[in-house]
Amino acid sequence: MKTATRTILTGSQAVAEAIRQSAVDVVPVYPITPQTQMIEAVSALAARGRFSGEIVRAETEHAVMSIAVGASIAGARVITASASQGIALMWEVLGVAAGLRLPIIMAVGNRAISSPLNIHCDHSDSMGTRDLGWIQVGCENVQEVYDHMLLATKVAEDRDIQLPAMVLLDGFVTTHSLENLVTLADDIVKGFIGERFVEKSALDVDHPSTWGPLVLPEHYMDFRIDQHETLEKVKAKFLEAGEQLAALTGREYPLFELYEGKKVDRLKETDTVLVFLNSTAGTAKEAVDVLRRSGQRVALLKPILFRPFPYNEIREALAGVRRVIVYDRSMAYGAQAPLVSEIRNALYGLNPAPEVISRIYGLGGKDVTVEEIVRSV
Amino acid sequence: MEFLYEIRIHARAGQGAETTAQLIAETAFRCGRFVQAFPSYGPERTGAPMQTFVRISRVPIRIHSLVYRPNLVMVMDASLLKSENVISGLSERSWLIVNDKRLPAELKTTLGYSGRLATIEASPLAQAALGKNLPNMAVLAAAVRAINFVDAAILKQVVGEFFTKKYHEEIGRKNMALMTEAEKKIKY
Repeated sequence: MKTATRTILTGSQAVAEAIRQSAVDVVPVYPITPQTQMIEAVSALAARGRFSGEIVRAETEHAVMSIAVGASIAGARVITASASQGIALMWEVLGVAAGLRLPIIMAVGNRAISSPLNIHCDHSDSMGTRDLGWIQVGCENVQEVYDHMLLATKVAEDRDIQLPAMVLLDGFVTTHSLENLVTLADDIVKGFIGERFVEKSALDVDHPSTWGPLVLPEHYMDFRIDQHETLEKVKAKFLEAGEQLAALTGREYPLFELYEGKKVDRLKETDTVLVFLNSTAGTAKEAVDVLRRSGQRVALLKPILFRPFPYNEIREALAGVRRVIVYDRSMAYGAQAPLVSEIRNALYGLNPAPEVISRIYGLGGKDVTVEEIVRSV
Repeated sequence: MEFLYEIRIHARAGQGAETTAQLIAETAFRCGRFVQAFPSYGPERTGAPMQTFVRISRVPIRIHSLVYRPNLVMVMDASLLKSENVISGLSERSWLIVNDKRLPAELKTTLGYSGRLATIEASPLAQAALGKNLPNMAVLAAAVRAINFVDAAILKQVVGEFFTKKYHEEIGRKNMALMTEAEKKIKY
């Protein structure tokens, strides 16, 4: 029995393959560039009889997330995908999904937010939802898209978690890029993810339940604290599920990746650390190699789990370095950019504290080269 | 530095440049290489100039930027020679393959390009073989004939399988025949 297959897929096709193998019950869909290929690929699998989940075409993304919430309350495994304005439109229901503790999975083809209108990559869409209570997992390449879809589903559905998760892949750069990857056999994925744990289904008519009722001030904060504390537990669950997945794939699933000319567990010979999310982290590895060859002690930190944010772990990893350059692919108008804010928070009070430099790059799909990263250090 | 082969394709959206890039990648993958194939859209409208890119390597590809110093550039539509800078990033050792009826020497002078160049009058060939001006497979066959950057026999097999799966067997056969014809018509 073949346990793994070497193949080539686009990021979007990798999302669809993970959806097929995860035996998803309901996939509510509404197309938006650059996510459309994901739902097209799932539909193509269904048309060929290879996917038997229910694909529900909705009239808007707001409806997509509403359908996802309904199906998830009923006990279904639900995965959807969106981007940019689509995510903006479903914002209201994203909070509902998290507050109701529904393990809905959404692949995000990261794209700029209007206006001006732009279909290309930046992280403004998912960053705009970062505090709504969803788990957020970033992906550098197509292999990570496939792996993180499986991992996110496993963690989100964990009995002690029950929270929705976004898997973030860069629009066009990763969604439309055909790359090598290794996929697992269907039964291995099935064994890894298992059945969805359902504590209570709204369809259980013998035990009627009310979902999403009014909560008065006396108790409202209790729900929010519980939600926060549960999201914090995701770090440990992510590592635990990551170890199980690593046993099947031979790849590692840390909270963030450290690269010092090679993958390392802790920085040893580093003066300056570059911090990049998603696909540009790959380009940055090439830049790190160039800089190290010229004698500069530069390394890369690539956050993978962005929500919950691993403050303490990153603080520990960066303690002792002289300089940290954080590259954001989105802005926070009138404030510090999202990623650099988190890194500064993580480093606050360290003595000696690394100097933190903020750089914005790649908004609306502006390309970034190895040479540009080298020059920016 | 490990060897990395980079390709840029200039076309108009709808001319099959994305398919071309994917078929090159599929062929290289079957030969055991690491690949990356991706498009770069402007306004995402049929007929608008667009580019696709391919990287082929013996080691995993980590870079995620566009291709700026290609080993090979293919131009699917000669009208793009005026509006697009197709020779950008090319060196003396690069290859440029253009769907055009002119001879390479004439085109080199027009473009001010001193590297290697071949032309292929792909549109009439495609019109005759497919009944449509879809020149991409003819240009691809000419490029592989000139440079041999992927295995020509495996490529033809990949192309045949792709069109058979997407449409039907006859379209697969016609595209393979078009490629064989194009290999003979290349002008250096």
